Amino acid sequence: MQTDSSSSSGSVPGGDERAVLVTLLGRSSRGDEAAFAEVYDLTSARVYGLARRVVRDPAQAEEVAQEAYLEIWRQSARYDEARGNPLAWILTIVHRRAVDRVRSAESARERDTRYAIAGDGPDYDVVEEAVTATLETARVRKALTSLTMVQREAITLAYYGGYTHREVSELLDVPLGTVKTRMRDGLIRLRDTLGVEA
Amino acid sequence: MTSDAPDIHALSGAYALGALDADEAGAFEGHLESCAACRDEVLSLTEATASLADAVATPAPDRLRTSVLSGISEVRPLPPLLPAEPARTDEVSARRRVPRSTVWLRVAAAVLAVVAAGAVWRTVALTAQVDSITATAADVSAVITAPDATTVTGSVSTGGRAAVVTSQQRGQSVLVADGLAPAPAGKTYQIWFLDSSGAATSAGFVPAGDHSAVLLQGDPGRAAAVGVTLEPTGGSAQPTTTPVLAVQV
Repeated sequence: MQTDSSSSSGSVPGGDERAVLVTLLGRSSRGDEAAFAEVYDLTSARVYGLARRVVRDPAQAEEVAQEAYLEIWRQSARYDEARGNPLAWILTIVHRRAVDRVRSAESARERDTRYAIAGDGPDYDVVEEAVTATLETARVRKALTSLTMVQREAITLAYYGGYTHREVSELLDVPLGTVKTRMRDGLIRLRDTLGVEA
Repeated sequence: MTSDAPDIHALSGAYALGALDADEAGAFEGHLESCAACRDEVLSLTEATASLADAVATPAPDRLRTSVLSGISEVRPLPPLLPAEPARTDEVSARRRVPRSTVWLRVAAAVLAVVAAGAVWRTVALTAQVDSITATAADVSAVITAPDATTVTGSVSTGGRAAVVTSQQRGQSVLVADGLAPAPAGKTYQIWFLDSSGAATSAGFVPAGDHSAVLLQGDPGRAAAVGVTLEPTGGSAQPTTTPVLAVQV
């Protein structure tokens, strides 16, 4: 996996990223700002890209990313390796912040309106022009194509769109149980295609 | 949880995608406590979910790096959670214990004791405009709604009331003030964490306004009390006047 920042802190070979991040988070928890800068450099493109994809507005995406990094810094001592990959922990924090942002903003609006304006369907084409093409990006995009269309649709609406499973069920006009199944089956297939370690 | 629906296992995907609402997520976390198969599945699905960020990776603007790194220099990382202290169990399991709807009611009741509910939410919305990056509205509402939030209230001797809401899990406290008299010219309400020896550490300032909420700077973990004093604008290194409010936390 390449370092995905525009800064040039060097690249981290694929399998090592997890170990490197664990070490860097440990140092961060002891107040080591240089270590956290490395965490930032290794993750910022994914963190910012995810925030941007969910909240869409670039200025708000920056705010979400900044709040998330601050929380990651504060909570770094509480990351527990037994609870999974540090990158997943980081991105869960980012995603929760981004989703909180859109859900609170959207609650004041008619979400269906936006959906309707978006045209004949939700934007589940995950290929965005502005996005950096890295090897890992290409690999994940390819893996996404291994999902069935309905699985991909449910997953991208939930993860990138920030919709709840109930909203996804409404948007797609399919029963809630079907949506749950599509999400779970789709993620299992994605996991198996990517060879994610448990 | 005794009310697990038969298909609760099927929620693992939606949970890993962050697609459950707060109540459902709380219920599912309760289920995770007793279902090792779901725990393992959620762990692996969450990692698959995280890889979705790779597909949308976008170089961040340079100024984000600058602001993140200058932001962290002003914030102390929380201490690790110590398993020996029962009150400070790990975040996920603590959250599982109380369904969030119950938590909402409890916190809402506590906050209502001091401030009208509308005022709190208006305050939380206003906070977005006045606070620094360490004290966003999201942080304030996250503390107020944290499952382990505890609230203490007190009267301010110069008028008005205040509540301190603390979440030890988050390592954060929020001060909610209601009906505070405006600070005299050239003065400001400064907030302090006091440890058990009485040593004071500045925790920030009460924002102006009839109803205000502010995320306190610093970790409430070692604080025995929170106090407020009137200090010259800009604040003091140590309290210089008799507290107008002191509450044990």
